[in-house]
This record gives sequence, structure tokens and C-alpha cells, in this order.
Amino acid sequence: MADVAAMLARPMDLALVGGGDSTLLFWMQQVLSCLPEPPVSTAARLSRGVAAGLPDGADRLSSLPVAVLREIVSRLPAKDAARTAALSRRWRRVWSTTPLVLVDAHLAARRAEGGALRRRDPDPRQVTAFPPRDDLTAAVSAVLAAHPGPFRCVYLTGSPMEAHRADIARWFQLLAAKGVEELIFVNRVRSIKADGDLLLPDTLFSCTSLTKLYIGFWCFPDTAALPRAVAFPYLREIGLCFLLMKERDLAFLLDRCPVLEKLRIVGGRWPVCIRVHSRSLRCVEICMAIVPEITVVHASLLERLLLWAAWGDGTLTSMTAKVKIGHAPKLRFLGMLMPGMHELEIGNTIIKAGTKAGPNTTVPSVQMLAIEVKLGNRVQARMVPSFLSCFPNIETLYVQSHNDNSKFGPQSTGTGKVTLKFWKEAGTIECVQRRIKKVVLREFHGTRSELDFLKFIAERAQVLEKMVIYMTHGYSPSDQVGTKLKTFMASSKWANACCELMVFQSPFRQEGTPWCYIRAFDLANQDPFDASKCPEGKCMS
Amino acid sequence: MASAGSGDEKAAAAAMITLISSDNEKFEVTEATATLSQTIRHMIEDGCTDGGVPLPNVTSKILARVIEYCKKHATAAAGEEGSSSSFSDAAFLEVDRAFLEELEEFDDAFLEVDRATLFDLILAANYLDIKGLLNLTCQKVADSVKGKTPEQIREMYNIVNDLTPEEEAEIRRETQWAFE
Repeated sequence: MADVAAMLARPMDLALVGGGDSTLLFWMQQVLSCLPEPPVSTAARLSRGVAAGLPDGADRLSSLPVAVLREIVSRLPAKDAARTAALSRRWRRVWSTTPLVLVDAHLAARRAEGGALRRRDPDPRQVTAFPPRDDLTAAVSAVLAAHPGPFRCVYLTGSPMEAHRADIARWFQLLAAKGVEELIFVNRVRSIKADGDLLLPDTLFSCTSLTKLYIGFWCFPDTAALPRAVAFPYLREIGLCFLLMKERDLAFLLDRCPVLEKLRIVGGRWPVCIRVHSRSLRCVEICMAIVPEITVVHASLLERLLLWAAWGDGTLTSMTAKVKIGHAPKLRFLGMLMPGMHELEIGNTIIKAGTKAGPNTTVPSVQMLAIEVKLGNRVQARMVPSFLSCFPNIETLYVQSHNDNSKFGPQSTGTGKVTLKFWKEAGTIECVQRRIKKVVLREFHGTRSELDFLKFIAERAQVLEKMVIYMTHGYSPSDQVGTKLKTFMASSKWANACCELMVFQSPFRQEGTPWCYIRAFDLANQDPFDASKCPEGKCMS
Repeated sequence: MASAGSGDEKAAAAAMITLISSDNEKFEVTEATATLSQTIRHMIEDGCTDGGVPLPNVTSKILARVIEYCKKHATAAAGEEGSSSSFSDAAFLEVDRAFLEELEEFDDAFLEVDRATLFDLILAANYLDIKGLLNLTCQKVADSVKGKTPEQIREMYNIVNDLTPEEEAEIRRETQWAFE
């Protein structure tokens, strides 16, 4: 994670810091894994047991209603779907009137010896399973030309577009003319260039039927010259992945999406300053980017403000980022906030250590808060009580415990120790006393300051039902550190004697803040921060 | 319905619907089960279910299977609502996942039918507007033609090729990429 921070801290030098293959692979994997699942698959899980023909030789399949035949064809990868057009006249009409689903990874599947297609589905979201290839663009062009539209989903992640600039322009003309609804278009670059990648044509703005859009490894078009009237009137979900984009263009884009519900930015290659002013946005997620300032001005429906590895401006040890919350009456999920790095501003008040909670400095709707903190570092820890006081109705608190000696974030030299006394002096914190039902502490290192914090919570939280602790790597609940933790907590005077203490080994493959893109973005999921079931970066929930 | 919870039983006591198949067999089902069918849901909303719902397009054999599917999935839907508490945790997720796996196994076993039954189920799902069942059965047919040539599909499903050789050549030219 520190490597990521190092790369992000100087985005302009990105290519110099780590332009090598491993850096590219890392970023490409992040971008691909945040993409939505393709709507169709080449895997034929249910193909078993339909081989037997009917004895009377009747063609019951073709006599199904046309709407049902379209249902069937819409579940096929583009090649399989197109082959049904050659079955008969009826099927030819069915194919041309079934909205197209094109996943370029499925075009890559080749017929093996003997005529049977490979059953293995090349997963377009796995960077190594689906390497970039130059021979896909001709096929993509042919598919887009052959089908009359509409295009339900066009999912392109395999082609390095550098050598196919003419295709890009032609494709966007077809996408716009034939009414693309979902477009996922990642330029599968072979190297990261400091000056950014290819310019996305502004015909993108002609694709007005879009409902879902993910673009990756592009330079976003300049919007200054576009007519003010352009808009994406149906766009509900957008993913901006590893783009070079100007603040002005992001603002323009958001302003032109009247029904946008979900915004995701992954790997911003520009300092992302974002103002949320929307009547429709429900989820804003910004991951692995420099985010100097995020302002929620007026967002009447915003439920989730999710930041993962969203770093501030400045050097590794003194980064700052502003999080300003104005009108967000439905905000329920907030985090990961990093006290000491994130400067929280509520209403017009900057929250400082010791800021007393008042009606103008609280966000009562927040039910789940996630923070990342070095609990032994006074610069960070002293902000924790102030942060918690701003959210009087938190029911679930996630604490990602960072190693106090980490070179990243504020350093603790000469700032004094954080002790149990420190926490006791913090006074009454509304949510801790009366609301918090569940506390999850991840990456427990076994330090005194972590123990003191947990003890503080245990002895204050009157309605706490569960305290869940994930040990950091190399430790287990049954070793010395785990035993000490359990003994220590058992000796605490729990405010709620019925609270359950659960200590687990880390389910994650590596140290760092776990994140699951799918959970975070799934508005039905009630815990966007729980990635314990998705340890390999794949959502298992 | 051994796995039904007390909530389901209460609902069952409150509202039962009688479905009548084309061969005049009667099936008593809970409203929760019946309303997986949008067609029946609309009938209930319009208050025209007294005396039973005649389904002249569905035989008793197929209706029994459809009800089997709807019962299982109505229980699943009730289970999902029950578990959406203010916070989830590992135990909840375990239960959810086990349940989803069980549902998938049920669906797989449910599809182990002969061709004629599969088509009857598709028609019933389409007529009754049961989205999950239509998805499942259409997916089964779709999966069966994946990776197959037009000739293989025609043979599988007795499809008569009424295209002239010129027409077929033209289609294959337009969609050449699909045959590579």
C-alpha cells in the first residue's frame, strides 16, 4: 500500500517512478477488477442433459414466441448469437432484432482442433487471463457494423488502441448511431505514459442513450468547446478509471448527468477535486487517487461517500485532504477517513481536536464510519474523538489500524504517547456511549495503544454487541499476541457484559486496507467496508 | 415446505390462492408463492382470484413443476428480506451463501428435464410472467447452443433451414467473424 501511495504522491512522475511492467500490471488489474461483470458468458454451465431430440421431429424451439427467442439469443456471446442468424429465416430476424451484447474477450476464444470451442471463458477482468491483443479490433469493427442496433452492452478491454486510432473514431460513430446503452471501454495500453494516453473522441457525448459507462486509460476530451446542451439523460452509473482529466471537465460531466446514481473514480491521474451537487447521486467512490478536496455541497440522495486509498496533497508524511460535508441528509456510509490527513469540515466548521459537537457540526444520518489511523500516533489519534463526535448515530465503526512505525502518514516524533488516560480525557462521545453496536478493528499489531483504544471502547460502549478483531499478518488468535489480547479484554470492565468478542486471523493475502469494489458499489449491500469474504480481490458475497 | 419459517406460515394462513390447470386440477398455494408470477399478481391486485385462477395454457404436470419452483424461490425471497439487518456479519453471510448455493443446486436439479418439458416450462414461465424461471430456462437453451455450428443446432432442435443458399451465404459473409 505504501508503494501505491508513493506512486500516487507524485502522479506526474508516475512513469518515472514505476513505468515498468509490474506497475502497469498492477494498475490494469485494479481497473479491470472494478468493471461490472460482463452480462453474458461463454461458459455453458447448464448445457448438460438437453441432447435428446424430440421423437416426432418437431421444431419446438423455433415455434416459441419471438420475444422468448430474443431472451435466448440475448444470453449468448456475440459469436454464438450471430451464428443463430444462419439457422433459418425466423432466426435471422430474431438475431437482428435482439439488442447486441459484445464482449471482446469472447471474440478472442478460438475454435480448437476438432471444431469445438474452448469451454473456458477468458475472464476480461483478469489481467493475466486475458492479455492485450492486436487482432481483435477488426472483429470488433465487423460486429459493430453488422448488427443494426441497439447495442445493449459493448464491453471492450482487450485492444491496445494506440495503433488503431481510426477505429476509435469509427466505433464511437457506430456506438452513438446505434444507441449503445452500456459501454465499457478500456484502452489496453502496453505502457504508462507520463503525458497520458490517447484522447477519447468527444463523440462520446453523442452516445446519449448510455445508462452505464466505464472508461479506462484515456485522456478525457476537452469539454470547453462542447455545446452546453449535451447531456447523458439516462446515465446512471459511471466509472472513470486511470484517466487524465481536468477538474473542469469532471464538473461538466457530472453536471450533464441528471439521473446519475453511482460515480466511481479509480486511479485518478490528476488531483481529483470534486464538488458533489446532485439530486440523483447515491454513491460516490474514489479509490487510489490523490483527492485534495471533496465537497458534498448539496446531495439530497447521497448514501455512500467511499474513499479507499484516497490520499491528500503533499509529501508522504504530511499529506492533507479536505472532506467537506454540506447538505447530505441521507449519508449513511462514510470512510475510509484518515484522521490527521483528512480535514473534516461540516457545515462551515472545520473539525479540530477538541471541537465540541453541536447541531451544526454533526451529520446524524451516518450509521457506518470507517477510519484508518495509527492509534499510537498522537497527531492522528487526537482527531479520532472529534471525528466520532461528528457522527452521533454510528452503529458500526471500522478501524483500520496502521503500523505506528509506518513511514507513511504523520510521524510520531516528540508528540507524546497515546494512553488510556488520553482516551478517558476525550470525554463523552455520543455514538460510543449510546449507539455503537459493532466495532471492527483490522490489522491488530498487538500494541499498547491498540489495546488501550479497545479497552476504552469496551468500557464506554453501553450497547456494543460485537467487537471483531482481525490480527495482522503473521499473528493468530491462539499465539502469544492473540492470547494477550483476549486476556486483556477479559479483564476490562465491559459496559455491556453481553458483548461478544471475536478474534480472527487475517483473511487477507497481504497487509493493507482491504476493499471490495463490488460490495462498495452495490447499494443493496448493507456493509460496503466488509471485504473479509473477498480476500483475493474477487467479490464472494 | 419443511424449511418455511413461521412468517411464511402466517402468510399462508392469511391468503391462499387456488390455481386451476388446463386439465382442471386445483392447486392451493400461498399468495407469496403465487405472486412470483406477475400475471397472477396483477389478477390478485384486480381482485379477480375468487373461485380460483384458471390457467388454460398450463397442464397440471407443468403447473406442479412451476409451483415447485415458485415455492422454493418465494422462501428464498422471504429469507433475503429477513437477513437485511442494519449490519451484516460473518455468520449472516455464511447463512446467505449456503442458502444461495442450495438455491443454485435446486435450480440445476430442477432443469434436469426432457426437452418437451423444458419447452413447456418456458411457455408457462412466459405466459405467467415469472422472470426467474424464464431466465433459468432460457439460459438452459442458450447454454446448449454455445460453441455449436448452425448445422449442429439445427440437428439438435430439428430446425428446418428455409434459407436459400444465396441468403445463407450472405448471412455468413456478414457475420464471418462468428465463424472463425
